[in-house]
Amino acid sequence: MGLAIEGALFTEAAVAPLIVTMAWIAAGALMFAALFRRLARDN
Amino acid sequence: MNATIRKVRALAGKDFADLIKNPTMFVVCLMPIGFMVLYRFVIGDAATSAGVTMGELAAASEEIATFMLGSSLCMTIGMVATMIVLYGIAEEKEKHTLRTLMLANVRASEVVISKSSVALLAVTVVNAACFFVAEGQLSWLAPYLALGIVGALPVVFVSLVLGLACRDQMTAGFYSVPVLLVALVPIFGMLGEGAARIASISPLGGASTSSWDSRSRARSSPKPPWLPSS
Amino acid sequence: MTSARPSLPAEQQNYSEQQGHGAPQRQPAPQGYVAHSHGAPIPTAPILAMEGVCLSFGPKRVLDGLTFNVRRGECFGFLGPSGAGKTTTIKLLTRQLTQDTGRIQLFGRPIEHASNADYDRIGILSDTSALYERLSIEENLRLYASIRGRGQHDIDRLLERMKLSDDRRTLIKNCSKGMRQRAALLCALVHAPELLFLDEPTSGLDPAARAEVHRMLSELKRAGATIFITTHDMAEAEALCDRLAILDRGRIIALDAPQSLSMKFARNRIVITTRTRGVLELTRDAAAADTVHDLLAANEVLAIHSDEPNLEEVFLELTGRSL
Repeated sequence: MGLAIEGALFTEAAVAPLIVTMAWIAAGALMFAALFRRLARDN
Repeated sequence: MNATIRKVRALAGKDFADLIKNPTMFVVCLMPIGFMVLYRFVIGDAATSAGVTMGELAAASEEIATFMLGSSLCMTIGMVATMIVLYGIAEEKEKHTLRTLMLANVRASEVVISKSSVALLAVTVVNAACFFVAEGQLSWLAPYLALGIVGALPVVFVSLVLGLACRDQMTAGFYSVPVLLVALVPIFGMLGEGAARIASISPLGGASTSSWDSRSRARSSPKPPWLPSS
Repeated sequence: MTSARPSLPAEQQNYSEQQGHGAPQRQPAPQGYVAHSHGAPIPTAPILAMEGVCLSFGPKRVLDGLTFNVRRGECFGFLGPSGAGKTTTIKLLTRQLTQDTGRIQLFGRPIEHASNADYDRIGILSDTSALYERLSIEENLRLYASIRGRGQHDIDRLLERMKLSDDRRTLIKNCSKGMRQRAALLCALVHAPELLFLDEPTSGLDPAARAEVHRMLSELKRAGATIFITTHDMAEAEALCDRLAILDRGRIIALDAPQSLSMKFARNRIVITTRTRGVLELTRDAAAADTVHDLLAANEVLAIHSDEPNLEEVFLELTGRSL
């Protein structure tokens, strides 16, 4: 957000934070896909 | 596909109506806005007691906005997304409404899509409200909302998994605490360089405020005295 | 007294698997409800069939060799005490559980091959069916109507038929149990299903609410819907069901029309309540005729009842133990 305020959102400095966020999105999606079938049963 | 879209739309309408009618959920959605209002008063009072002039305050407005908007991103995502997804699914399981839906030929994936959509929409709306309370510049609004959605995605995925794993709302309360704390880590990242390094690899570290100290090293302006020191 | 139903052939007095019987005559649907046949001629094969189904939960065998079928258009009842396996049977039929052994057929196909389109033809009211408490009756119904692709006119018609129109805006959390159950039933019916699974639909309801539900179910049956209902109330089973299976510890111990079962286990007596002589029990034969005549002539008779057994008595006769 700080980089967005500085107008530096699409510069090299923004790559690392966005890669971190994308990695977490991918990890979350993988965890969800792996566990969804097992968990998607009602009590 | 038409049937899926129809069902998701019906479920999303129900989830949204329930969000408005559920006092707990509604209050949690208002909390980040309340915190922003509180921060504005606190920062203003702190500046006054530190003897800061209006000119100095105006000069530091960008840093203040960075802090407030970053904090509101973390709080909104941590509170709103967790509440709607994790608690929402847990409540449905506890009250057997999820079972009734699935007996009506609704698939779990359709429930998940509906809950996620409503959560992301609520995060966006609350973020927008926080933005205007924090008096951000309009040119920042679009990236702010986009970062809010991007940052909310990992929290939504984790909340979905935990919500489906919960049997009731009490368990949801237990599971939601670590999710909320992890979402708020970037706020604590402003306390120092070590904390900032940890925050930078948290789920919202990439989307929220970067460390004050690492940025101030690249800039010449000093840190306002009323902001926490490392 | 029960209404007249088509009599069944004598060979249907046992409970072994039956096939090949024609479907009951369909009467014209009452206004406002049409059960789907998707334009195809009504087939005579069973709409639902179980053969040799067994299920265990750990060491406990809950269903043991269950075999029966349900013909299209009939109301088939499962009667038995708590723990007999009624709800478990419905869960198997609605794929909430999977059997250990045996075959289940739904719409003429193995249940494992049932498609989404098949489940769109089914309505289910389970023992734990629940509606959203912060929404009104109409909002809940609108949700399920939207899920099923139905419109507002279907909602209005159903609310009218279940006498819930005046309470349509009442929140579910403010509804009585009877209203909630009726609303849940409407949500299961909103798409006019061909096959309806009802798990103790009148459990805990007062007589007025129960009568409303019975009226609705009778109308559905006249419209051609097939109903599979579980109950522990013999009177309800007699009122609604064409055929009835009595379940005990996961096994069917009797399967027949309710009147046949009642008559099979009815005691051969009548009970007369008199003004001054208390309650008299007489054998139901010519020997009692003079006594009945004399009581009537003396204006002593307050009530005369035949002595149909209740579930407990039938169960006792069949199993040798009480419920």
